[in-house]
Amino acid sequence: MIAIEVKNLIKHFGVVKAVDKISFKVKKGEIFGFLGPNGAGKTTTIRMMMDFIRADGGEIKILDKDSRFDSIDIKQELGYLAPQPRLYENWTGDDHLQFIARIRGGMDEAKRLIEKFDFNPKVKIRNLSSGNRQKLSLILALMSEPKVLILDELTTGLDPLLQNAVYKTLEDYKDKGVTIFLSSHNLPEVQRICDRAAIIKAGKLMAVEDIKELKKKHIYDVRVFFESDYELNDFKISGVEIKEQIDGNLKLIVKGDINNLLKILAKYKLRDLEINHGGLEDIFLEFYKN
Amino acid sequence: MKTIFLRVIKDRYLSLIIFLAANFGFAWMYIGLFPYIQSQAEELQKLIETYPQGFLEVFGGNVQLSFSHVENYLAMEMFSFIWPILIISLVVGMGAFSVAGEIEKGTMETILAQPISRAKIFFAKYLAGFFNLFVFTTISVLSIILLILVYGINFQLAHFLAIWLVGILFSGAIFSLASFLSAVFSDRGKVIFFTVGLVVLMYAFNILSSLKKSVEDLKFLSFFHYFNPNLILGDGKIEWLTLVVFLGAIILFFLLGLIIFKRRDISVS
Repeated sequence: MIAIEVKNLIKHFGVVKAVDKISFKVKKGEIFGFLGPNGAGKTTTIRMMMDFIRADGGEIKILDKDSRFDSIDIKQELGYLAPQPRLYENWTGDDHLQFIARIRGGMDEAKRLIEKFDFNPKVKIRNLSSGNRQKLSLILALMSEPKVLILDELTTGLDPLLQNAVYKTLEDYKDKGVTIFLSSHNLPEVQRICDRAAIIKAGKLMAVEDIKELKKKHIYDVRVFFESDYELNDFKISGVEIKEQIDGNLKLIVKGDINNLLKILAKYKLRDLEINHGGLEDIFLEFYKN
Repeated sequence: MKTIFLRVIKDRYLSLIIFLAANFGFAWMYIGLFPYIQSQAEELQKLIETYPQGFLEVFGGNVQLSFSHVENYLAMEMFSFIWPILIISLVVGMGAFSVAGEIEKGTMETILAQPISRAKIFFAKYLAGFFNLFVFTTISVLSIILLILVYGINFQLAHFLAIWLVGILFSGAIFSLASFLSAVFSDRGKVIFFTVGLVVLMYAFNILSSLKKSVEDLKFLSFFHYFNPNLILGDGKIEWLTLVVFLGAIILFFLLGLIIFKRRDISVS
């Protein structure tokens, strides 16, 4: 079952192609990451999903409804978190919660979330820290118990403890069958909670990957400390990149199978050897290399 | 829609009270001075008659003007200057914040993320602004009548009803213009700049048309030609064209604003 379907989506701002024919599908009940650096087109895509801005081409379907023409129906079932908290400075948290509750209900869930996130709703927004503003924005997105959650930069401003509480909450929502679309440039976050991720660069979709598969695309950071001289040409093999060469030490990046390198290293006497797994960040950067 | 309407009213009530207090203060000053002005009416009338005709027309006056009646006095002293400044400041501020201000602050995203159509959002905000200008005009005219009664001055109620009605339409037309520009732009500064700029231009058109015969028709492009306190409050007359122009402007700018707000991209920075 598909919860979100984006097909050949295009958005231009003048001559700038902010989003250039991207397509992907998000399954019902999955947590889907949307990865990319600033300016890649993540927020523009989300704004089209939310019908804040209109596409120049292509279509978006959320819960089998057109994001432009059935926007109101979709929003009945949708929770949204903006990249930076967009709140009324002169209102209290309670004013915001009452305002949303009058429009779409959800005060009981809001009370549960207030307790869970240890949020004080009596304080005016102008007196709240960025973390507390983010807490309130999250409560506002979740309080109506939506079927689809669109979260743009989820954990900005949250401390690690609260980040964990938020991840746990999202996992609970996922267990209830909620589809979560999470835009982020925080790779460990995506690695931790997402099932799949789309990678976007300069408005183009680079890949849609299963997170487990993405992690299988091993990248190793290898440091070799030789006892004696070595032949550099031995290491100029496929999948191995020589990064640095200092005082008899060699720093290498290995993509894919490491056994070929180990066979070559077996010919030498080593003083030491360090092999570290590259994180998702290294894997991610590989997509951006070209 | 009701939630947005009530919220705007709640958010704006303090500024409304400040504007009403300012209006009350000016009204008290002018009406408090009136008994003295009235006793000097003949001398003042003679003085006014020495002024050049063009000068009087610039200020919306005429040589037949008399300060022996409170309506003529208030038309010239208050409704030709202070009251329009207050109401224009109020409605331009409200119009500028209604859409552009919310986009500028980013809070428009919070509203647009809710299951409410853009048409209802615009209408709720417009209605709340119109309600506020209605309240301001009504209370400001009522407070003036109250002060006149306190000072025991004779007055014509029908003349005040006429200025109340045309005042609502005049401020409604400027509010609609500001709301339209608010739907076009994404920051309050531009809305205020262009709305005030257009109002000043209209004021200039009205003055120029009275000074130069060759540009006489420019007056028809000015709201100030139709909002003539000397005629409305002084004589208690409302011309049909005044009603048609203001109602037309209210409807036209409201519809244009609504169409643009429904169609435009809204991305907060």
